[in-house]
Amino acid sequence: MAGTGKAHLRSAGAVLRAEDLVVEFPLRGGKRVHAVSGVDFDILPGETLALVGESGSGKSTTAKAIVQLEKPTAGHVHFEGDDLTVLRSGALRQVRSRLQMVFQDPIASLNPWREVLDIVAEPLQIWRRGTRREQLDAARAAMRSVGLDPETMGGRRASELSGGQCQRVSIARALMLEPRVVICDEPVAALDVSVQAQILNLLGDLKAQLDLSMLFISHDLAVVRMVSDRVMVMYLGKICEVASAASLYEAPSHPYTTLLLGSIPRLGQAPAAPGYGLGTEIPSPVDPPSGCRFRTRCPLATDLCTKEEPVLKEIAKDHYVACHHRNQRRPDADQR
Amino acid sequence: MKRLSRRSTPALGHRPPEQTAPDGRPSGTSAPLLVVDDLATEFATPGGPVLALRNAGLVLPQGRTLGVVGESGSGKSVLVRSIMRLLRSRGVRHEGSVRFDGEELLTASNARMRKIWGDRIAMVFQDPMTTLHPNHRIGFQITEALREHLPLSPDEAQDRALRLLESVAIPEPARRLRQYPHEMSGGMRQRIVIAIAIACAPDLLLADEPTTALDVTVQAQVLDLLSLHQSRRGMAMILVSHDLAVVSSRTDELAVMYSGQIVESGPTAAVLDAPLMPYTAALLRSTPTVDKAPGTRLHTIPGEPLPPERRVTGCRFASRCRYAVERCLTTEPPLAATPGGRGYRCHLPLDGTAAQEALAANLARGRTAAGLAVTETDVVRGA
Repeated sequence: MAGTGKAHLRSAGAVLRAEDLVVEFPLRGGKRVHAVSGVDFDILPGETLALVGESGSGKSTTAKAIVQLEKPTAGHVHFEGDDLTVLRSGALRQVRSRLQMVFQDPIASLNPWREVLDIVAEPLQIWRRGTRREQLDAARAAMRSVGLDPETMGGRRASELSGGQCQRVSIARALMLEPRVVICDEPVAALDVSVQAQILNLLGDLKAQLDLSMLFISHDLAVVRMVSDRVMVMYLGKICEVASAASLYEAPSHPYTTLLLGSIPRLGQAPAAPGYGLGTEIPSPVDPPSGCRFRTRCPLATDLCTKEEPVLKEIAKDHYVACHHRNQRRPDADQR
Repeated sequence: MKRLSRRSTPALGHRPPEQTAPDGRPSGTSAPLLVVDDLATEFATPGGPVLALRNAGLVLPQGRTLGVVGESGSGKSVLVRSIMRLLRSRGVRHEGSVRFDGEELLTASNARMRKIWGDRIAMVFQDPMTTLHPNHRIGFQITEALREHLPLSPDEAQDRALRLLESVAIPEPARRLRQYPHEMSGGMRQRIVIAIAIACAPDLLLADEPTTALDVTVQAQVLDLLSLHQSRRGMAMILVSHDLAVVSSRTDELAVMYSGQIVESGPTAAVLDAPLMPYTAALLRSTPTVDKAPGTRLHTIPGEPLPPERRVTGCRFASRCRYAVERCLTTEPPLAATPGGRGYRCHLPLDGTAAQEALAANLARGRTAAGLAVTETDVVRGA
């Protein structure tokens, strides 16, 4: 699993671009946790990029490093012409109004004692935009746009809401300042299936209406398939594969992507796990494997994978893979 | 403020008079291993009694696997914990019966249950991080169950533990026995929990969301492991999950729960192929899969799951169901059984014409009897 490749970055027009992003956490005894080790990606206006990986792959750390909740050890984050990694706190605050986040646990994201309408209106209040009446009107409109009736729900306290309703409130709040980019960190992982579908559809609708760009983080390739234009697969702090959603699911080309896809339980079908990676677990990010980071679980691994880190290469239109032994694409897939 | 220990409540006593025998009961043959009949479980809470499980009936023959699916709050965990008799405090009341191998468990003494736990019935919980004791070595935790139930010397127990770890595909078992839980990953810990559960070769294994806390690549391995031991040892298993896909390929029978009730049951393939209860059908359609085209709109179930403590007069799913007619709001649907061993609680099962007529009428009106808006596009989308 390489990461140093930049082949997948588009030349211009990206609203958000991360380059050589590295996040390490020092441990006692001089060791370091290599959470994110040189990740590059960009997001175009109106595009949803999904970031997929197992726990410990560095997806959430990447999200936090983008909004500078976690200061990157190295690298740059360009957003609308600013490099966020060098901005001072005042300027960063300004930028963050256009770069919003929705978190995994909807209930913990809201103050249980506050009334919903106040929660949604608060971003405007903080930024002193408009009169109180205008703020509340905007909050009501935002509530309607996420499918909550402001008349009945506006006066309720967050503690009275269900998980799905809380996530709608979080989304409404994130949209109040008209952000360019919304980062959703596992927004449906804590929700029931029936409610999860509602939120996924809502995010899709809002994205289309508001021309939002989204970074959508999830461990679940099935969920990601429904919402994303482009998918980026991460493993142990590095990128394995980046491709348009259509291409990735059509012809997954990194052995890790194949493993992930094969492991998803399917309705009524016998489990189709590819049978490797068995008994082996994700290695510690304190001491990641040399060369390709996936080699300890990979059925194709050779000496080359130990010695040399693979670099992202284009194998088909808008399909990039970092693997020395990348799966051969079927010819018909390349012609599409 | 209501008293915590309110003993008799009308909620528990309220049962539809049409109550029939538990669904899916095979006629004749040898006595099933587990028979749950009209089981109800009620918790006393400061806000009043909460009937978390009602009218639950199921039959599990030896060596068979039952999947229990439902959303959070549907009562699936309460069901398995009630069977296991783990809910034992002053605030909990059970009604009905749980017969395991001919013995009634609901009235069994604690001493008797201690004999049964681990030896005859074992359980695997959702979170392997909190199931194991953090301060004891793995070896001690595995041999504890063995020494409780079997006359083994320390060396024999140790030897048994080693072989158990091998059987759950743990590398370097001898070293692992000396380790503490925190030195292992989640998947490894869940394997240990499974090793402990199968240590005494139980007849029944209850697995409550055994892979929900694990990564998808590890999930497949752990489920494979459970299936392997289940078939090899002829154990019966109840596999509880919120994920239909997880249980679909690994169970013989399926029970779908909603708001504290089993609303549909039957052979897994039959239920998934042609669900009779609109909730099951809607749940199937709203599950994201990798087989649908990217960007496909998911079918959604409008509204939120009904909390089990909420009292309603009719069907508990009626407020979210696009087939709902007046009768669904006024009369609780009784448990109906089909010759094919299927059971359902619905006035308008999807294999009948009444359901299609009700849907057409609701579409014509633009809303259901419960006031839920239904439009043609919803139906087309969800079809």
